[in-house]
Amino acid sequence: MIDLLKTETARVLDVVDEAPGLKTFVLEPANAMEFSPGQFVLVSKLGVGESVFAISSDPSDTGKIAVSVQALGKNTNALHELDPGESVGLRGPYGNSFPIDEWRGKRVFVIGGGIGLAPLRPVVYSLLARKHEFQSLSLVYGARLPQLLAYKPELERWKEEMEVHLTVDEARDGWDGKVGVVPKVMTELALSPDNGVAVICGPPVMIRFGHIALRDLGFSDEQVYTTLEMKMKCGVGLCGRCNVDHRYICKDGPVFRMDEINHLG
Amino acid sequence: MGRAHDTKQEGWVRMKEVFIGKENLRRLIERWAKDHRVYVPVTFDIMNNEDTPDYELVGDEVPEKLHLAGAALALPAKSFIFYPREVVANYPSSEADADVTAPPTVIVGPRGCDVRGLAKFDKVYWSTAHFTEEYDDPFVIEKRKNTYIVSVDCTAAKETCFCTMVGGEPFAKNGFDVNLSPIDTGFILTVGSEKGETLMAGADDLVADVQQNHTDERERRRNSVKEAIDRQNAEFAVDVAYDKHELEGSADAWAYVTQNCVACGACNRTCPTCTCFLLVDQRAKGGYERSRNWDTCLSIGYARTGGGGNSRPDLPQRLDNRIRCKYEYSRDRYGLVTCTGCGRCIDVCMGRIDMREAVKHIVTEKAKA
Repeated sequence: MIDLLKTETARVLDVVDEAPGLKTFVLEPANAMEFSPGQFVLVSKLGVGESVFAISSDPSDTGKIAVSVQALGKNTNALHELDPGESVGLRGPYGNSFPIDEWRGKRVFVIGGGIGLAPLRPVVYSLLARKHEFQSLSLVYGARLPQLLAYKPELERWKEEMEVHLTVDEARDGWDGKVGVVPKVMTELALSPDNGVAVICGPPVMIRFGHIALRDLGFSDEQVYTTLEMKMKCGVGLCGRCNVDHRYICKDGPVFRMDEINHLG
Repeated sequence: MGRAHDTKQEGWVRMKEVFIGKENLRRLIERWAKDHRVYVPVTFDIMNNEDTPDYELVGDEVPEKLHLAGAALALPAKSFIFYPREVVANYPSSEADADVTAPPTVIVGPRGCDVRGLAKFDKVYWSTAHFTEEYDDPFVIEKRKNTYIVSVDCTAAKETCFCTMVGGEPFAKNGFDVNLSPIDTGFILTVGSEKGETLMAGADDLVADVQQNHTDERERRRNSVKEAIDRQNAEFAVDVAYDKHELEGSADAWAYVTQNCVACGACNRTCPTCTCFLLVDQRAKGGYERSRNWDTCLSIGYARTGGGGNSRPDLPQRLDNRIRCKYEYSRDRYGLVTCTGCGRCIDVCMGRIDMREAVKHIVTEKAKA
């Protein structure tokens, strides 16, 4: 149990430039790490610090853990300097996960904004792996600019397997797809609450207005899931800082159904 | 041990009680010090305040000025089981595991509020014993197991004491290994646990039977301190039971409470139930080390995320979170109101923020709304 606060090392297998300031690190943990979509890990540039990241890789590939890192602070900037072959600290996985089994037979709408697609990417992988169990699968994903859309190769691949709607706030660089914020596109697409489940993650403002759009479309809060981000140090319900009321995001979340948290505004 | 005077009251474990004289207590402490680290409360002259009590490690001799009276010491008992800074991991080398061992230690002097405060640590850090969370913290558990709590009844109240407002009393009812109740001629010594029994093994020559007049005197003393605390807190009384608070107040109400707060975090550090920490990674010999450091939820960086996001950017939100953590969140998560009424946060606050006034203000403003 002492290892909970102790860091295992992982090797950097690959570094993918997703967008300006955003890199995905594919890590090979010293010991295979099984995880469920929605769970998170703590990754450290050794001796510098630790930061919490949603796992963004395919859960069926237990030999690898991918995290997408925006260079925002001391540790994340240090991580951005890493090259394949170097070591990082890794512990986890922690937190709860999306209840994908409960969504069987339903229309599942995955709704992401910007880097908010990271925790949803394992959800999409898992859904596609058992595609026939769901009535339908759709992705609505947007970013401020075309260059900020993450996971572009996957987005192309997913288009062949599910309904994919991409949008940008501002068309540039020859973008000829949808233009407009994600909540607006959701409304235009008239996502159906009938037998539907929506999973939404993105910047706080996008979650807020996305949630409002879903309500207007007729989704009840029991049909909407999200995953919350909060500063974490320990990841296991001890250090205190990720609390919302008496709940800890790291232990009681990060995944919540909207009716569990809607009083938070 | 002499023939024990047994007490059994509701909610108590069966406890043995004996009488011990003042000199014999010193001898008992001397014996403990042979194979334990023993901390005793002693009065010092600190900043021209004579008779300021603090803990001292017993060396070759038991200090002259033992302070087994008055109210709670400034240092909360948590400091002995949860260090202000502690290395919790050395990595990546597996050979240099962080040291979890804790030497056998006797702490003489915690009060009822301290002992009740330790329950929070057990809830958070010791799941297998308390079936709460899933985490067992080896550092806290080892210290908890090897630390003997010798609590002392309060014989006077500080003006900031309010334990009786939050379900407590100025003495420990349980949760101690040995308790000392000062009376004129010495102490009633109560053994409260198996660990306490091991401390008293072989001490029969130092103790005697408890007499009825001893227990009568203890009751008188305890009641008089309780009454003093009740009396001095009458002005802070509210209509809501201490364990039923819902302190979701208006932004204005919390801004009023917070107006003198400078986010120094002294309240967190002296609080017997503040368990939160910061992890710090740094280079160390042979690799890296991670230390666990007491943290304060009043600092702006406490909940700040990468990119500058912050769930509690404003100080009133943070003090709101701290006070509600004590009364509501701990209750809802652990079944424990974690304000023990020790008054330390009031004693140390340079802005003179008073927990009792804060709660009363929020409750009163809520009632008006």
